[in-house]
Amino acid sequence: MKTIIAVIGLSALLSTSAMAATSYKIGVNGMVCSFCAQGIEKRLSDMPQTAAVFIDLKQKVVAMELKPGANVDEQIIKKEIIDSGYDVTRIEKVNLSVKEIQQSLKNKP
Amino acid sequence: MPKSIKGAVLVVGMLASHSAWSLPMGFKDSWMFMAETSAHGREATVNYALTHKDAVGLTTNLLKHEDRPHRWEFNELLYVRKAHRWNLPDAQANFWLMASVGQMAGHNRSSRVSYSPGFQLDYETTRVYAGLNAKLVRAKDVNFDTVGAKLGFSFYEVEYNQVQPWFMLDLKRTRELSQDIEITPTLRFIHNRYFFEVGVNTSGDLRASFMYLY
Repeated sequence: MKTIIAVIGLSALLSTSAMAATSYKIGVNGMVCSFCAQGIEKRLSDMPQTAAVFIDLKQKVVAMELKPGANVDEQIIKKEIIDSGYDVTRIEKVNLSVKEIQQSLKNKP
Repeated sequence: MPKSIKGAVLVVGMLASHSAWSLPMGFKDSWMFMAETSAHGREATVNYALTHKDAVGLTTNLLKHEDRPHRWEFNELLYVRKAHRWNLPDAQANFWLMASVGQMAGHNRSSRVSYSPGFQLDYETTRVYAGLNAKLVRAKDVNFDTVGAKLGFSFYEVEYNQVQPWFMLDLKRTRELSQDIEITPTLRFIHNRYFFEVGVNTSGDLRASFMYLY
């Protein structure tokens, strides 16, 4: 019985982590208006691995959610942002969706 | 040329002035369409960004004398260079270089070579904009050199997908075409890939400009 419960628990855990979205949270300097930051949205959205993009002008953060199972080199993301005319200050991979990142930034002072 | 394209070109041409653009080019592989109309003329420009620092394009202009019925038309090939951008934590500043060459006609003279080198310096935060620009507009017996400045503020900060309204004060002086500095209080609206400005100068003349980035 204990083995069955453990197996069910483990599969539930694995399935939850498999469903969790993966995103890149990127700090970008120089983003001051939506017209100028268009390039970031367009270039990142055009990447085949991208599921969603969110830009927060106040917090200077770009969030890019990956499609399930997709992976992308951080250097490629950095290059896309540089080609949009901006500088990346930091980049981190997080197990959150773009909506969750958006919500967490909203609650930030 | 299909009628719909002819119509679109005509509308852009009609909208289209001898202006300084807040953002003279877009991001790598983007197209930028710009048009402006005022009492002193019209301008329409399209450019394509080959890199995030270089764009090439075409510009068509009509300039009118302030008091006399003289008009000049010129079409030029354009090159824009983002010589330097300072990406700061809460601001962006740029130094732009522009150069164009083409042909000018008008004021009862035959067509001749025209050229228009210039530069622009700007600084912008989410709430404040300041820009300075200067452009030589030359052809044989023509000197329409222009200097200008733009200062403004946004009424409030917005989210990325919201329309952002600004108040701008536009100052411009064009040699030979007008005696005075043209002062135009302007309202600016930015929404994603659309940029629109409309204002009335101190002489009561309307000025409007539009930009689209794709």
